[in-house]
Amino acid sequence: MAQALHSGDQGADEANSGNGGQMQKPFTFNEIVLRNRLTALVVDGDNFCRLLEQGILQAYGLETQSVNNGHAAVELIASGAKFDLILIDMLLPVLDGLEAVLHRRHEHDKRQHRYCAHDVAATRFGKNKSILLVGQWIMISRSVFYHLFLWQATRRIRAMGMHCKMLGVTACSGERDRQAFLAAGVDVFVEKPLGPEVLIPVLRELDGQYPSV
Amino acid sequence: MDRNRLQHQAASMRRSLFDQGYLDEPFIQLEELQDDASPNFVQEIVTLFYTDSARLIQNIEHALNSRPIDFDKLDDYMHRFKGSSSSIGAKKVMNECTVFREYCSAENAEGCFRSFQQVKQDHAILRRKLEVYLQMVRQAAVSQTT
Repeated sequence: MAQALHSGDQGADEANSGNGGQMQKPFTFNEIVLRNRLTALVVDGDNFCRLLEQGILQAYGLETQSVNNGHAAVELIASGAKFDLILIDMLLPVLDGLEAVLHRRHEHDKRQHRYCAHDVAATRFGKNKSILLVGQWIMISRSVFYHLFLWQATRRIRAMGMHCKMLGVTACSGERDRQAFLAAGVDVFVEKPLGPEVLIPVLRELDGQYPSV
Repeated sequence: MDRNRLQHQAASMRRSLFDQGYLDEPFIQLEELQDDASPNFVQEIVTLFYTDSARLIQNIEHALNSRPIDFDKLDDYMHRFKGSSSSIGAKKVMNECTVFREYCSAENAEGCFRSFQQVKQDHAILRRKLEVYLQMVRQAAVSQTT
């Protein structure tokens, strides 16, 4: 039906005349035609967003797989799967659940500006190595420790030597989270919705990395 | 009703959805994903959006009615709601989600309640309008083949 509405008949003309036509500019996935076989992994805990992102990438011609949590993504890559592009949501269930626990503890102690460094160390380094901080409560700023525990899936994927292009996607976030997510290993930070202005340059870059046939 | 008239009505309905701010550009991308291989893609994705968002709305209501209110959990839910709303191009819903998150960040329960009522209203209005629009699109497609 999209084709029918954009076909140039009266209905299509009226559909494109509203809002100065800008909101309803015809869009086509043929703006880029890939010369090479590109593969992509979509990692998003939201069913709707995951299916939509996968559909968009497939429409551009990529072969895609998808998983709904960070642990599954890490497992898939650890099994030897290779991808040219990974689309990974900033908030993921399962693997990145650790930071959810720490975040809630942080919020609970926010008034006192306290952070249990013992628990942080115990979680990060194991209980045996937290001996230095046992019994002590230390005033630690959120910006120093909090982001170290976020986005474990992204960090682990990079740590396994996966050097593909990673797009970190999110509904919305602040500048500090943006910088921290980039520091965790994503190459590009994208606010949803995933649009052609972000994807097309990335796909051109990836397609250009392969020798011309 | 003839095909041209049905298409005209569907196009007018579509234009009004954009002009009134209910839909935004990402919806156009959705329409472009529909082709002969996926002839009902838009309907399917809209249905999926409303199934998922109904669950989120339920979770948010439950969280708002809990005492004490867990603003952290509320923000998580609304963050996801905003993500799916923005991905489908549900502009008004997405904008109100942003307002809600601001109240959440300030731990303003009353503001959250008010904003959530608006989110639900915009969400329901868009659902009704999309149902009418997609029904027109289907009718036009059927009349095209007869």
